[in-house]
Amino acid sequence: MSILKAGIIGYGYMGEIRRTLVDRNPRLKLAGICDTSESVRQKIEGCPVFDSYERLLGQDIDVVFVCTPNRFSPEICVSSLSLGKHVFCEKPPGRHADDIRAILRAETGQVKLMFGFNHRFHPGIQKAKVLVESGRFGRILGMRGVYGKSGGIHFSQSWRNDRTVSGGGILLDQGIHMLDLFRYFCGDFDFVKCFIDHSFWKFDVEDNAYVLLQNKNGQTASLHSSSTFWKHTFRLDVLLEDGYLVVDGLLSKTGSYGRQKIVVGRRQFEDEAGALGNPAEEVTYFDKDLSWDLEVEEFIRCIDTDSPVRLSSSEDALRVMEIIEKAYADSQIEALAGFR
Amino acid sequence: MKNTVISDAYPEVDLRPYDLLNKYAELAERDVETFLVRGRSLTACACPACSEENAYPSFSKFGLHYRECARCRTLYVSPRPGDEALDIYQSRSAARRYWMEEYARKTRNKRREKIVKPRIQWILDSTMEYLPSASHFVDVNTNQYDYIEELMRTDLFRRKTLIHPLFPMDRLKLSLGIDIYSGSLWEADLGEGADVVALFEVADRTADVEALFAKTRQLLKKNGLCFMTAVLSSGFDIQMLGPQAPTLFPPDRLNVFSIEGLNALFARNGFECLELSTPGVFDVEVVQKAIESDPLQRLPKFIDYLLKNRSREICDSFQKFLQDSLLSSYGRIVLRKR
Repeated sequence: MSILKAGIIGYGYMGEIRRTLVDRNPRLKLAGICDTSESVRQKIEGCPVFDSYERLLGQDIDVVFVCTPNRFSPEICVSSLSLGKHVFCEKPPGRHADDIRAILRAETGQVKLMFGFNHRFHPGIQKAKVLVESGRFGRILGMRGVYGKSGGIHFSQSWRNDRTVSGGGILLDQGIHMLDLFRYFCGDFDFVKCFIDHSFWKFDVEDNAYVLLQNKNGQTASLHSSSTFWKHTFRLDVLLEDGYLVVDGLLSKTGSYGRQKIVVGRRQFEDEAGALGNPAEEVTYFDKDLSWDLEVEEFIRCIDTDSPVRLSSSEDALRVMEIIEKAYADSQIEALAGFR
Repeated sequence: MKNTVISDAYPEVDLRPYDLLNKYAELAERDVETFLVRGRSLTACACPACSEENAYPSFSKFGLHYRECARCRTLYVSPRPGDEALDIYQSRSAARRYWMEEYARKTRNKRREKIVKPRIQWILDSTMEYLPSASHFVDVNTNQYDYIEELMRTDLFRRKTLIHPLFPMDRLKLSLGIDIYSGSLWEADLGEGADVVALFEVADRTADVEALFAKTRQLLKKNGLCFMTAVLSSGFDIQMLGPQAPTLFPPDRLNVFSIEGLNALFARNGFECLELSTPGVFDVEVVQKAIESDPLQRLPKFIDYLLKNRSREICDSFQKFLQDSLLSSYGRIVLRKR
């Protein structure tokens, strides 16, 4: 297999993670990094550095990792695709669904486009997917997701809370992962309801979003996405006809979401005298997060085999952005006092 | 690597009625003397887990001597009989026959529900998770008839092979897709490599553990999976009771590995450990019973106080803590051939 020459555009938190992945993946060779900030560029070592993405795209590269703030990602994706580069773009893939539609128009069958919904590749989620698809627990009745963080002392300076750059608040930044997981397990949702607030941080984006979804199969999902969870929390409940799964914790860089585990319980109507509402459970703890590596390997596999991107595809990105737009519309976010 | 915890509480007596267990131990003692000790040549060995030569004498059972590895704290019999003698023991001893015909039969329903079915489910789930393309399953030296019956019902594997099952073949109504290799494991040549190999408590009762893992590697395709269970010396009841632990006797427990020993064993033999769990549910109950049956039993004061003065719920929490911390004495492991 040939080596793929990779460029990274945007060298913030995600850009640094992508560099680590590129450096340790034997199929990838880092061809250059671009960042518009001079102070950031000065810190980059070991590869060519560029101050504009156009200059990086002018190099001999096969693959582009787009790790820029939401406002800039669509334009960079479109340019990269137009130049025949394979593109891996971080989530969220833009500020609006129209951003994704523009990217989709530039997507051709010749190059691969994948988005960074890495939560699909977390070990607890993968285990849950295997269990659901085994059919042992019957059909999914519904899902409940809670995903939140505390912000922190530098939260107010983050571009993520500037609507002109990010396009939305915690729902678009972090809740999008949980919505993507809802779709991963249940497919599309047809009905979207949402309440939001921004009562604590008072940015012009939401602190909390309470989203309720339902599809035509009668599956319902609820999400609470928050930047006022003072304890970092990730929890996904999958309710099935014959049991339940709970994925709790997240193997993040800081470990602040706790060790990831999956709880597997089976509905117990028999022998209730011994365990009414408290069935036997199996809990599996995971120590290693391979999600970043696995998603990049999946991307490379699609390139190598010239097969369509099926996981975290542009279609997935568009659909989840459509849910977020509907949620924002339903919450009448624009009309809330203080948001503008 | 992952670690699984199971909260399914049920009494030990369901699986190990003490009258049956005592009778089995009594027969085993006699058979060990007959088949493995009297007039037999025994060979001294280093730690079967980490290869350390230094070990402390620990205790003796049925005329065989257990040593504790100075490095990884694995308990092992040394000097020990060879695998040929152990094979003869397994096929001819009254103890083994009693286990099959009485012990297994009388505990059959509970064993099937609590051990066999969850074990098959574990194999199926983990194979789907790690190697969904797997088609050839190989079981080595199983002594569980019910497990084979359940295995035959699964359709995940296109081909299933049993190597040297330790029970009479005429009891099995074999289905299509089950092959039997009746010879010894060491000579087994299956032609097509295996995707999955199961070693349930096999490493515990194998004299040459190094050869067992070398053979397992040879049987497996690249990236193939190995499922194993083992009783662990690092587990609570073994640590507390030592030689008084009710299931700790030869030859079923020729090797009683510690967690550290297992990790050394896997690394040395080219296996990546995907799961290492101790989902045992009996440790606390076994120690409580030992205290009840022998009030002079000397345990650390804190443990004695905890087990005598705290509620069932607290003791259950303690058992769960043991599982969480890889400190129960029942281990289950998934390995991948590197």
